[in-house]
Amino acid sequence: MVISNADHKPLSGDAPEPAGRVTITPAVFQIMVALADGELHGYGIMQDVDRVTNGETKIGPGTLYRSIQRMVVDGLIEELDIALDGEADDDRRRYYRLTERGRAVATAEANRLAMLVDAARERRLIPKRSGRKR
Amino acid sequence: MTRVPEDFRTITPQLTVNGVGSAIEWYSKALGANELLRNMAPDGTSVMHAELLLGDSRFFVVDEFPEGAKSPRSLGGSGVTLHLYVEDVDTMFDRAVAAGAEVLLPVTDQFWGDRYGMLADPFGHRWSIASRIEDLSPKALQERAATWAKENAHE
Repeated sequence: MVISNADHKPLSGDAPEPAGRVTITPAVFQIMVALADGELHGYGIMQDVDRVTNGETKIGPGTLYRSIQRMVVDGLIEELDIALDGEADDDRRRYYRLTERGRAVATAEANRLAMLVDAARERRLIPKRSGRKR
Repeated sequence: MTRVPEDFRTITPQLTVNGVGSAIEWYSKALGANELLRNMAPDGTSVMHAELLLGDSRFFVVDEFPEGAKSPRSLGGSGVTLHLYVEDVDTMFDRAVAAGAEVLLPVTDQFWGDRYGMLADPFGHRWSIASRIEDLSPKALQERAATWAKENAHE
């Protein structure tokens, strides 16, 4: 299956916004974390997710590009105009970066998750961090 | 890898149309759908599979083939209504009508707590579009439905 003649173009400015809410799936959050340090192409995102989760989470190309499409439509990320590697026709070489809105959404979600993880730690669902300097 | 793709909800409609290209154009313009991919049939002109994103949901659009499902135009009707919840039903409904949808039921406040309207798209598929305006318990809904049925019984 080819990803496609149908580009990941955002909706035109006057297009309706059917949901009006952002869905943050695990893959969407992982992609935002991957892009927090700067732009990456699709393959770079997959590698980053693999790296930061010690190989425990892998995003396949189908999930990656469906998530990317949704994030572009929701205004969380944008596709760079230039193909940095000069391989514009290769989907895996399209570059993406966080928008301002995407960074704000990612920060809010990270804070939300951090609070939950802190609570889980307090309640001994996972061990307290040892050796952390106070 | 999960066997249920993360970006799909459990139920994904597949719409059969006559002319996927213009259907995708219409769903994009009128409803705000966004196309991910399009696979051509061996004949080089028909589309055997297209995948669209609408809000947080996906749907497929396929051309009518002799061995496949019939389009509403071929059937002379449709047995399915696709229901959308959106933030602003009036804006979306008006836009769809301006793009050529047929009004089946104008947008009105309904007893079950939705502001709601129904339309048929230019390819014959039926859509209901709504925004939730009241959060009613199942019990309250039953009572409202019973009252509505009683009030409309003599008509």
